[in-house]
Amino acid sequence: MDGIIASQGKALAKSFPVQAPSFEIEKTPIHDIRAELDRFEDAKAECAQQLGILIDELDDESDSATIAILEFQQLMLEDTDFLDKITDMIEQEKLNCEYAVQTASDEFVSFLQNLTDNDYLRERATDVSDLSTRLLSVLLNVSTKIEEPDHPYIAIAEDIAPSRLAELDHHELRGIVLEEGSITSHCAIIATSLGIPCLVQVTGILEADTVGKLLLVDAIEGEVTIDPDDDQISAFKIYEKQREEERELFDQYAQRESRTLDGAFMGVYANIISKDEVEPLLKQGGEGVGLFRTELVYMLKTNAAPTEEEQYAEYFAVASALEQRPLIIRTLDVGGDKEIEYLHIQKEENPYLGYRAIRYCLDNPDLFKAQIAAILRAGADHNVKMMLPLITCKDEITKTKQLVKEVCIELDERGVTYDADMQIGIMMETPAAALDSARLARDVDFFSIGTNDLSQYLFAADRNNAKLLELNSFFQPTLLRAIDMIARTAHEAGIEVEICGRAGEILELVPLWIAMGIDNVSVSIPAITKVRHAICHTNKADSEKLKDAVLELDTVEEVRVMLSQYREQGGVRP
Amino acid sequence: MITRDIIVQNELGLHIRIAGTIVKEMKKFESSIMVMQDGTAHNFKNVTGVVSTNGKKGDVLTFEFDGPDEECAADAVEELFASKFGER
Repeated sequence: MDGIIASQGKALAKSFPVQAPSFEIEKTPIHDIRAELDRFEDAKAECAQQLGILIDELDDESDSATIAILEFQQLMLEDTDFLDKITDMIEQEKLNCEYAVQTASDEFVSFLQNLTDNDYLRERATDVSDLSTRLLSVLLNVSTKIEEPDHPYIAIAEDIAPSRLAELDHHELRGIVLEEGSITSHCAIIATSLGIPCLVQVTGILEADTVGKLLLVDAIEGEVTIDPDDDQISAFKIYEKQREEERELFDQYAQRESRTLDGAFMGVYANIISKDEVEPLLKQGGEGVGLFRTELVYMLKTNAAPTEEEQYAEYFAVASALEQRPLIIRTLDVGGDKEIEYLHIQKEENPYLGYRAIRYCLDNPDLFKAQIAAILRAGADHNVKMMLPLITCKDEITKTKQLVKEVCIELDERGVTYDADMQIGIMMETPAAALDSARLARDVDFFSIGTNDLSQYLFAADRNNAKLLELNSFFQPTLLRAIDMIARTAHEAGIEVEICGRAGEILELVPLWIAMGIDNVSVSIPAITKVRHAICHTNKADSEKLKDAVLELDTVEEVRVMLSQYREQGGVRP
Repeated sequence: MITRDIIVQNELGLHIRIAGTIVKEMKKFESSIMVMQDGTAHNFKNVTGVVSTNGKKGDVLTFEFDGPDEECAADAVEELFASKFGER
């Protein structure tokens, strides 16, 4: 079964459904109304207490979205409209409490689900069903708390409600497979932060018979295998062992210099989303942050954008933890696959080609200026640079620079210190920017090539479409020629060029980046040491000949073969 | 009893999180607080009542306040809606 990768890795363990229990409730006449009402009162009190405990255990700041949902559920338990429906059914119709709870909640759920003009409320219907499940579990004396198995397991579910995820311990959790969910869902964010592989939108996983069976989650290729055969299991064991051995080998490269055999330098930076990642980055020997994605700073807020002060606190914390290492902060790249509810960006037919990132920010100058101010201030005593996403034309740069000017004047008036000469660079991820890179290079201080988006825009191929993987391959010779062209125009203009997309950490490609004179690659934290290992084992003069040969090729397969041979032969040119 | 028309001003409308905020505030008043919509009364001391209005940005809600502190309740609702519940 195929799925979309929400958090990378591989795992092999027994499946464990963490789906909320579903109940077969029967409509049963009752005789003792008083007793039935008492049962309901007790269940209500017990649920309110459970929710209270869950809320207490959560962190006010980082879990505020989950807390709001749990509080809504608590208020449902005090909601006279909802409660009266239940007690009326018990008193007037003399029906059992379970049936009354289910009927009342189903009614509200279907009301929400039928709000075709309100996606937000419609999606929240699951929170109402989740509460009804909690009530029914208490009434039927079935534990709602998910008892974690005492062996390693892969959690499978339709989606995991925030309240369930909060209840789940994750000591033995090895992977997550969701029938629904999205790469920006709560669950995916948690999985990434725990370093657990997670696949979403795996159609059919719930219907498949997985009870007590082994599951192989491959969140590198985006596949799940139920009951893998011996070959697959031994392949996984080899993978696991290799990872372990590689880790030992690569760990030695954490504190080495990123220099080729013949002394050329290419920095290894990392991509991060929060200040918590700076420590692991430094441990792995990251030389800077090539891409600080600021979306999470916005996503963690539930009903309004973070203020300038809140953002400044976060950016300053990252900058000071990095000491004087470079920190490239990308301005808000909302839209596409990154949705932020309170910004209220309309759902679009083609979100990747839509109203997002710099386009949205330039239309919302107050929001944009707060972020610009926070970034400029964080640069006061640190090596901070600003990077603009999704740039297609000079006009967007000019307008942003105008806003930067305005912010500088305002900061001067407020007497706040900031970096008045901050370097401003742009993402190279659209064909328009790539084609015009020679002109754009006159207006900016650096380019950062976002290979994921560049490939999908260059080939007009959705990168989440499993049928288009070949077009989105980082071995596409056209993509490589485009990157080479961008690197050359940057150098002709005397500005730096980095790669911050996933192609930066593909080891076969590292010799090409060196040959193209890429100044630094920004990779995921776990990839820092292996990329540095690859750099240290490459000879730049040699890789230039490889590059010339590769750029003459026509197909993905030809590129793949030539690069793999080069790598296997330890960097000896083909 | 007093009646007031109040506009939903925040971008996202009366969603679940805001319903919680509204209800917690409304419960501070003794008066009943209802929104009349197509002949149905929605109780704003209940989260289901708030959500059932499906109130979106720009919608005008007709509130009825009834009780000893109805003036205060009406002012509080107006203020709360004008503040956009701390949202945009």
